[in-house]
Amino acid sequence: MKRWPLTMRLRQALLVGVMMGLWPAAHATDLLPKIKADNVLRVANTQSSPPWSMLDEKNQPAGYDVEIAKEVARRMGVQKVVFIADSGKNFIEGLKAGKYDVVMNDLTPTVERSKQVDFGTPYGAEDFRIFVRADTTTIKGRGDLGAKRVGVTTGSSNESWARKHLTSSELRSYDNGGLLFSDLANGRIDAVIVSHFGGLRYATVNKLPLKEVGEPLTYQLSAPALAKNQPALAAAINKAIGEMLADGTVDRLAKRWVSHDYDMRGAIARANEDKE
Amino acid sequence: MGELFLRSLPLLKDAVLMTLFLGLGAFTLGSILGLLLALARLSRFVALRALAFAYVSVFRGTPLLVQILLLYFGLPHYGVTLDPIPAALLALTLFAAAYLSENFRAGIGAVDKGQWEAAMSLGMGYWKAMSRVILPQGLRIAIPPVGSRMIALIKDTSLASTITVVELTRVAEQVGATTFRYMEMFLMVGLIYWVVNQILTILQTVLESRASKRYL
Repeated sequence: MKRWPLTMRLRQALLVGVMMGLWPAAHATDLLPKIKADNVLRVANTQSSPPWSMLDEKNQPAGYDVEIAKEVARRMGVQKVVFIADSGKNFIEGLKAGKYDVVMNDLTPTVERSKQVDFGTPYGAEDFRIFVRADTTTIKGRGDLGAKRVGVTTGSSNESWARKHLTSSELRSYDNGGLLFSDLANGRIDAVIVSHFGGLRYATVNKLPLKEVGEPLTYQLSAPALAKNQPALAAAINKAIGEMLADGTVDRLAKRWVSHDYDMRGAIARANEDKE
Repeated sequence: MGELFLRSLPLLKDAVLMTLFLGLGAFTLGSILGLLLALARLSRFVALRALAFAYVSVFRGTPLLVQILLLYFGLPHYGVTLDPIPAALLALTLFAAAYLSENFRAGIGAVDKGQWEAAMSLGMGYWKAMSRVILPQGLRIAIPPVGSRMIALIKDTSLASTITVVELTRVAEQVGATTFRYMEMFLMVGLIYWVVNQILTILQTVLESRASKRYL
């Protein structure tokens, strides 16, 4: 057999590699009819980002995003919701490969991310704050964070926000909030950027001497993420979320899962103003 | 993917240096400790042999990830608070030493017994025979497995990201989180690991052939 020229073989190898790795979802089938036929909506979340998604004492998925997903499915006329636990770095490929229909896990929509997935109507918002040790006196707000060691969680929107805006701070990113707060408590980092309720929760559950300082840094939206080119599914989900925003369901769920005095619609409005 | 590469380039440049520093640093320090452990394993003192055996058993028998997490997050409970980079270097060194000691031990054991006898008959003591006759031959025999360990160690540095060290894998996650282009980023850093390890493989081959020259 005649041997191919080397460049040709290389090109062939590259092409195969690219096809396997980068375009796994060239097949764009419409998901909505299948969801309706199976009567199942498949929703991915981490199940480890309280109060948005976590496991309750019976090890069942619970939290604000989980309840929103259940309500969205109900309004779409789909009886069953299957929650699939996955990590932040897998969500996008999971969507592209069709492992689940939608990701609802406190994902912040940005222009750049929208090149990879489609975001639906935002259903939530959270404010990011600065947490420090209770005995810290030198950090009173965002202006004091320069040259300080600041912790964030890997792959979260607080990390993206901090990398963009806190360029003079030394940022350290942790795999989860537990490790992040234990390092704040033992002094390896000076401050943590995290959502108000996430921070309070870690501080009280772990009985750590921490306090929140300064004004909210930013309000960030959370929206469902879908694979590209699913207009029917996007429309169905957006319609359900639109109704839930209009009739106050989001406020009711936020008061139950986030905080009894949380004004979710107000927070969403603030976040829309802060949008990049 | 080109523009994503250019965008990540400043981060990748620092990250590749960190990966090399951790990998090669742990390899160097781990080789020293590993050689001492190998000598302890071959010692005539039971206590030394038992100590070296226990060390290898623990550091080879538990996952590197667990060792890194315990060193970094566990030690502060006992008043020892290491910074991320020293903690990662220490964990990788301790881990590497366990494996390297076995490579060295195999190399030393592979030297013909006659070499010992010849050295002794020339009036050399244990240490002189070991350092002048046995180790030069044993270490040469150990080059291929030791080289493999070095390459494995370069890849193991990715676990340092769990304790906030910014190396190649962490950069892929950082840029991936912002752009949602995780697969391209992992493909990119995978390629960088491969290139680095390819260079190290070539160095190992050169070293191997030079060290073997006089035996051919």
